[in-house]
Amino acid sequence: MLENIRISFQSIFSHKLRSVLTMLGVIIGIAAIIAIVSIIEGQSEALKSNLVGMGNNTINVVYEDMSMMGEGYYNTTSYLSAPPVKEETVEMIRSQSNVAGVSLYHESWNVMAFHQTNSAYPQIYGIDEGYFDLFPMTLVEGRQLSSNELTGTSQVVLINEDARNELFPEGEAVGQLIDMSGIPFRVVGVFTDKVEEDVFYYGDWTQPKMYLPRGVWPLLEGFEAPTQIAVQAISSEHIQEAGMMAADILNADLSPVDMQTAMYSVMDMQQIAEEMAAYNRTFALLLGGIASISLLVGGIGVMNIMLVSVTERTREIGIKKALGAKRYIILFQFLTEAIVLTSLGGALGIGGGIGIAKFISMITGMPFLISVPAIIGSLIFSMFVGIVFGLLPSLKASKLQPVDALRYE
Amino acid sequence: MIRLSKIYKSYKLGKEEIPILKNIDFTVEAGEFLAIMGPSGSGKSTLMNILGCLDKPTSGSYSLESMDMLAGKEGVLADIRNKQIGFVFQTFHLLPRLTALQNVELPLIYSKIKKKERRKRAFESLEKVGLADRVSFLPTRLSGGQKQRVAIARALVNNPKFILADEPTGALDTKSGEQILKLFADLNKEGVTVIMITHDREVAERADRIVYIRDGELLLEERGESLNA
Repeated sequence: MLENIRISFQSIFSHKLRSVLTMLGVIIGIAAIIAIVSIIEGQSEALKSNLVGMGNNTINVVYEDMSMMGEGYYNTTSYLSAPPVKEETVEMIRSQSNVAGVSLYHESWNVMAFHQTNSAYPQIYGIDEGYFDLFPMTLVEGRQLSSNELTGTSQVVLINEDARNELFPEGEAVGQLIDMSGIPFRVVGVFTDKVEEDVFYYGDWTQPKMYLPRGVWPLLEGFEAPTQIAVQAISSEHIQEAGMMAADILNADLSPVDMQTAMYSVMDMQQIAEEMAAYNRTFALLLGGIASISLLVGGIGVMNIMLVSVTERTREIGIKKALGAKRYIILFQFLTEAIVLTSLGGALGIGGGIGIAKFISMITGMPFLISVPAIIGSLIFSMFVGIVFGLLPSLKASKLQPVDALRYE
Repeated sequence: MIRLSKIYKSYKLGKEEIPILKNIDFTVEAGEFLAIMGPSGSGKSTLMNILGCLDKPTSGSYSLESMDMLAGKEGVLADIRNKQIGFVFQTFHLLPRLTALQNVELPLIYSKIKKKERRKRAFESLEKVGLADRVSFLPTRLSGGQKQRVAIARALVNNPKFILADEPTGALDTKSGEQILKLFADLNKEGVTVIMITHDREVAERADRIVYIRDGELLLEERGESLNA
């Protein structure tokens, strides 16, 4: 067997140009399949985590005002009417098996921030300890808000690059004071929220953002400030489920009167994602069909060249048969050659396909994911093409009569 | 040892049946050096194909040491060719991409003999024909006489019952042809049965016995005694 493979390689390499041309169909077919699968998988993975999980398997549980939901509205959140969330409720959500983390936070666009004569109109978040687990960010200057600060009432703030640029256009930001609603907050660090590879969700759009401990929120917005809940699921498959469970737990705390007007729910992004996936599947099927035709044509090319090879080596077959080679030995020799030929084509196609996917992702910014099952599947499939299209020529070779084969010049 | 009786072979050309061999009867004893001689078109190649189990007669019987050579299917015939018969062809029929040693190894591969044993036996066989120093040469680097000696080493390697040589000197110059014939004679002295097919009387006369064939029929036999007389 090994000997057969070695001989096959020898014979393929002795006809380099012919072999490459023969393999071309298989190479193109497999490359197309791999490229399509890589891009589609990459895209649906990005969709799944970005669209549904905001990049980190995280989903917001929103308090929806039913009275404001009507035609044309998907979700309209009425923050102002959301009742405070109890600590036990949070613990209960946290203890669910599909929940990896929970964060309660406040969000406001109502407060202006000043430093000396500079001002900004930032998006302000009052966050708890778990927030950064759910929404990771990258620190570029200074330090992170400490655990003590996040659970306490320190007047400290973490600002993003946009906020720094607006408030501290030419100076050091860390250690400076920012004034919001007449209350001073000390800047401890600067973070960046330009997240790479997250083009789907964030785009290039940024704005000033600030994070401060949740404990100081009443100083800015009063004690009745509504709370937002974000739930992180243990994996992308569990996002919707975890979100819905959290919403149910939160709803259980609401009074029947509240429930008539508003209740907690999560956006059904899963459905959108599934529709996208179905669209992708159709697309994959279509292009897969084209790739299959290319493979079919490639296979016929392999068959053709194998028939030529059998004819060319008629005398060799005759000699081998005269010396006692049985049918199956000849059959395997040619079948091995066909399989080696198409597998080699498949391997080159896989390399080419990954290259194409990489290239497309480079110029369009679409993410791509190299799918191991697709690679293994393609290799097996190209071997299969070799078997199917190599069988006829190999059978023809094995059935040659030694007398006729020896006489052949 | 070899017994052919009432061998008849014909080919169909359209509706017409053309007889190639008619009623061939002869025997070969173990240890003989026999020449089958005849002009081209006499049917000697067809006879050689039948002797070599490369082709089957239309009717008749062929046995080797009481083994029926015609009963088997293709796989059995392949085994017979592999183990009982050593072929030497006019144009050598070596595989061009294999070295001398690998060419000699081929019949042993088909006998499923292990690599180490195979190498050893192939080398010994090449040694016997005087090519121990050419084992790793490709056929293109060998002279005609050397190629034919590789072919003889290949024919001998599986210890066949007889060697079937088809015009073994036909593609060689006189000097190398002479060497090959001497090699056959030497091998025959060691007990190897040799059947040689030729159209050349001078070559045929090197055998102990000549069988003449013309138009598909055996004409006469000459014994070695009468040859030398």
